[in-house]
Amino acid sequence: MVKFGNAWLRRAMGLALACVMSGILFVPPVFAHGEIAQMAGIRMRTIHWFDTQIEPTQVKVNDIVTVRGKFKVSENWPDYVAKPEQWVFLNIGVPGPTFIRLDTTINGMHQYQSTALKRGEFYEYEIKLKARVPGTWHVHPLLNVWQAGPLAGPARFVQITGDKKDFVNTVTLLDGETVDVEHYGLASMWSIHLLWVAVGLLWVAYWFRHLPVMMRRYVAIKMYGEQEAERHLITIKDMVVSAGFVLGILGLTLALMMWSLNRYSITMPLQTGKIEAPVIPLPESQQQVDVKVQHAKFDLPSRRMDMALEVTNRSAEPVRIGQFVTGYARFIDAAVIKDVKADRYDPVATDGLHSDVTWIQPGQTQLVNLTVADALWGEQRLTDIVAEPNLRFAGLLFFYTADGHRQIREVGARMTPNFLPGYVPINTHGGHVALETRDSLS
Amino acid sequence: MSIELGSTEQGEISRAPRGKALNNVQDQVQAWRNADLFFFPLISILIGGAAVFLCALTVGDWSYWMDWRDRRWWPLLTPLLLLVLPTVATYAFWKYFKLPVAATGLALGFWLSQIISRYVNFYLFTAFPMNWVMPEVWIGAAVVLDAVLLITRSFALTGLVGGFLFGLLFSAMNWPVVAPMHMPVQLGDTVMTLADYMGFQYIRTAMPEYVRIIEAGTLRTFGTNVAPVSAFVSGFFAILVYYVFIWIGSKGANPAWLKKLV
Repeated sequence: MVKFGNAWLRRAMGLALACVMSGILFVPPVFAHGEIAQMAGIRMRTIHWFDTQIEPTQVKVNDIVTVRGKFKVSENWPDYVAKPEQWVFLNIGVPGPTFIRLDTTINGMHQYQSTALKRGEFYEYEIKLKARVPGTWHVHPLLNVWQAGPLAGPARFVQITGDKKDFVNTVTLLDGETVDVEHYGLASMWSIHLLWVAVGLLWVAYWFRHLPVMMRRYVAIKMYGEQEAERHLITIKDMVVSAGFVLGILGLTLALMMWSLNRYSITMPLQTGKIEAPVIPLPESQQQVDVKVQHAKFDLPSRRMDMALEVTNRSAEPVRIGQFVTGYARFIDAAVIKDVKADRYDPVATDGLHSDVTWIQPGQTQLVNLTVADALWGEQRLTDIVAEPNLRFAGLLFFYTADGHRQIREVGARMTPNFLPGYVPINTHGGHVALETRDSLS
Repeated sequence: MSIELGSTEQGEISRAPRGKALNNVQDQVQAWRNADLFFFPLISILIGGAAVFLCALTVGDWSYWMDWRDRRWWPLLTPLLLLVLPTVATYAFWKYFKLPVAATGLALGFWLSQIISRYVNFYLFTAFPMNWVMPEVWIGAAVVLDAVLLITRSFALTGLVGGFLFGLLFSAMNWPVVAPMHMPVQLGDTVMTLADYMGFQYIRTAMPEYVRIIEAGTLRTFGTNVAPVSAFVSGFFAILVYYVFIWIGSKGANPAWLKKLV
């Protein structure tokens, strides 16, 4: 028996092969889209998704799923990312056409083609989906921005039950004919393809009708030279048949064209275009609270961001900070609002926000030390912000009145990262920062 | 022609015993027949399959999706890139066999590979409707290319006539396939083709609408007759492509460089 290499080499190769095979065979199934692999800075400073609802999450084939919510196009959009005023498409992040999209609206306007958005504006959207392929699918709202790529929003898992064969999708063409979208024209497509395949096979069969062909011709050319062999290998009959094929194919092409022009008499070129999404006054657009970020620090070891804010309340009611949203992760002050995880993947820290000032009275300007601390920073890989080319953050601050009305302001600024133990938080009041005494961070 | 190979078309020919060398002319003929039956389909499928990769890398989405096949770029670009490998193979088949079947064989191999790819990858695996990802068909254009070579016995004339027809006919041959997808549909207040409509409905997460290249260009002087003009332009460029790749085929088919390597 011939052996390859020495024993150690064979063992090493066997081990390598086993590693490769185990890598292939024991890969766990992937259910999501790797959305948190996108740069933290881009997720935090481009689209601020909030109020996202994806429901219902248990449906049958043909049932409708609605994805709705709001987003703010960040005022702190990174300079190194293409801007959304050019081309944007409100999309859905799902594994292929497991759903079909029936309708999309942004601020009430249908968006079947591309659109454009303005930085600093709030938008409300709704996407209607129809369940198509059974399975459990991760569903995101998603904005494709020209040259910037997909900017995914928060997701939910939606389970579709039933049989794909029961899926129905019909449409009425402009000529009045109602057709099955997934099979329309398919029979004629196959027929035309097979017709051309038959023509091709006929041509090949003509040349290979008397075997052997290739080697006999090869030997002839070797023996007699190209010129002489060509004279004998190509006959008048071959010429006539070839001319017949050319004419026949031209005729067949013309006939098929005439047939298609008759069968599909009203056609139009592919359509494209851009309809700029309108800016309409949403409740969130009201700006009666002003916020300036004086300092911001991010402590990597404790997964904590501290912000020193100057807040001016220009409204008629006292307000307090209850929520901070960045990269669609929600940090909640449990003393202000209650939020629960929609499912175990829902990126929410239900008690991850603390402020050293409770109420900011009307007309008052107040310095506020805000602490956003939770493992969610790490779970969502937002901690990567400290390793980015532009050490800036942005997010939405939610202010609440006593009766639950809210105002939303975007904050964004440079921030100073801290990589080592011994972190000293920001304290603009001279005392301890609210969270400094918390057990969870001690 | 004085190449007599015995009874090549006469009844039963006994095969050489397994493991034995060829003993007589009949064995030789049988081996040559087997070579025909084995190598031509193999080469067609292999190079046709390679052409599918080439098509994926160069034509890509224009070939995959019905809502990419516009009147301007699809009929211009696609035939030029599809012509590359058949032209290279044509040189070798003509030089060594005087057989005008290379383009047709590759077109058939391409068709088979492409249909399998679309059916398995796009229809079965990712669940896109087959009518929306039906590939282009260019077997007829390939037969014309081969037939013109046979009639003219000249690469120069084949490039001029066959190459031109290859580029010109592509659009016309494929219109009956794509025509159903160009029927108009109204969605809300927007009228679009059925292909656009399916592009909206059948979600492609990584492919926003704006990334399609639809009617982009400066060809604005022939009214709405864009497709025929694109087809003619493609025909003219196809002549050039044919000449370039016949030359490349002549270099590739020359065994001298192989001898230097070995």
